[in-house]
Amino acid sequence: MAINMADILNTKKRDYQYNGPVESSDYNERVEENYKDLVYLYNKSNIIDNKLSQAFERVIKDHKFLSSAVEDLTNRVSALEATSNTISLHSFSQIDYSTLVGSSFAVSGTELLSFDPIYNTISLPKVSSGSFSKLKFTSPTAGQVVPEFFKAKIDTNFAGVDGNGAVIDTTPIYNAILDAPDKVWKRNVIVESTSMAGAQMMLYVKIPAEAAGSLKTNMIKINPYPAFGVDLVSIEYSSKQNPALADSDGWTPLNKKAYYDGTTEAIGKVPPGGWSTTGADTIRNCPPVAFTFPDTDITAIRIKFIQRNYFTELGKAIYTYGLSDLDIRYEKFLSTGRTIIKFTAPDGDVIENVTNVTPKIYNVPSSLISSAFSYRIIYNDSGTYTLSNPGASNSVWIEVTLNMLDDKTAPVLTDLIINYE
Amino acid sequence: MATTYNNPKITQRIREPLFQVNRVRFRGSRESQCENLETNFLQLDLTRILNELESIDIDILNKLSYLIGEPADVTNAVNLNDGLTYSIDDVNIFIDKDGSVEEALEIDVMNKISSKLSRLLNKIQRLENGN
Repeated sequence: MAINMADILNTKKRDYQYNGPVESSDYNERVEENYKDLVYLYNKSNIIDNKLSQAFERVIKDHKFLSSAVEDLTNRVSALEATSNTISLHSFSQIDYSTLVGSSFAVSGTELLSFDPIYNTISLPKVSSGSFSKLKFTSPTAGQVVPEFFKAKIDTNFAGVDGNGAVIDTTPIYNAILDAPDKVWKRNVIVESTSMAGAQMMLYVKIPAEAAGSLKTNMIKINPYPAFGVDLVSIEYSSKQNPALADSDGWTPLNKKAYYDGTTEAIGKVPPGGWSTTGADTIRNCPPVAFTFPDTDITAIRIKFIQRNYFTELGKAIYTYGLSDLDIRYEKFLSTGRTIIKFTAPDGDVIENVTNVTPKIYNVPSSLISSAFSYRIIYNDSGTYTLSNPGASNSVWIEVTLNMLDDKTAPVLTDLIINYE
Repeated sequence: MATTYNNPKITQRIREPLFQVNRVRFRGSRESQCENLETNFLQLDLTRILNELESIDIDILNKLSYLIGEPADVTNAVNLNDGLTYSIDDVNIFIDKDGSVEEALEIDVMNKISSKLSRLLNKIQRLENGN
């Protein structure tokens, strides 16, 4: 039960004029009030500290075992795949270049492909010093900082409940940029009645070129809030100088070449809003996503969200959506790189022959996959790593090579599937 | 303070201020020393309470970091190998173990769990579609 502090405090206001308390009873009363309040505050602080620790103890244990349940699910999906003699990339612990150090397949540090365990991707090696965020920077003293030039706008002129006289409870929009644990940009739309169209908004963000220096951009990262609870309908960019953050800026879908148009399994892997059928590539209940695209001059982006899910409380419907850790980046990639991924047969099974290796790359058209991706299968033949198949192996290693396309696209490998017999 | 349990002795501790109730002030001489002592105790108590509240504030942020993660250094390419899983010092966990093997208690932050779920959903979709 929440305690109203104002009802508890004993110390009362006094209005002495020209002299202090002249009676001991008044003085005694005051110090007793002060004393009681101090006792209360000391112990209230103590109780809050303990409540926090107890709540955290509960959450951290639940969190840990939910995480274990996810691991269990991973193992079970892996087992299901095995029934069709398929193994895929389940964990980045499968990246196993260290085993081959000293062999002819060793991968040097500079040519090692980068991997991103948040967004589940493998891509070309990155040059750290040439890569930077366009929206924020990190100060050694202040942590993440959003430059003063940052400008953003929300447009709610869409069907649905947002903006049509609804009560809005929101945190500052620049919380969308920061990834501090206590900061998230949330927009609660509180309405009396729901709508089939849900709540809809377009977020416009101007790239503060004054701070970033260059307009060249090739990556966007979006962490919707709540995770797995918001639809991402479109991501578009403008290259107009001094954009007004309005329709008039001229907007191009980030997936302007409509890669994988109509391919269901590409939903969530290509930036939404580029396919020929409007809404077909919407990422429903969107997880954290990152998209890598060719070097592009970008002055602003706009992202459309729909929230179909809502809570009800005290007779009102509450639609919540927002973002955290939005980033628009330029990543400097090397033109080529390699890594080695280990695939182990399920217990009691062996890999006699790898019949197929299928990369899942969605930012490169099918016609150019063979330019962007190549592989070799490495076997362990009695302690010697070789390309010759010894016949039956518990594990095989796939050496993956990625190459940058002519338009400077860094291919992003989202999964690698091998079929074996 | 421990992370995975709460010490009842601390929970039940009753704390008293330094500030003292002095009911005999008006009977004795009104000396500045006495006035100053009272004011100083009050100031000390208020400072202690403020410090404790600030400490709770920091504790909340630290604990949230275990679950949600800490801000990355975005100046250059973000080193994503770090900061996704937190090990809590001096705490080990035994899962399905007989006690002979211990593991450090590691907590996956929300992004990492989201990532794993996202990967699983993709694979389940592929299995459902027979690919």
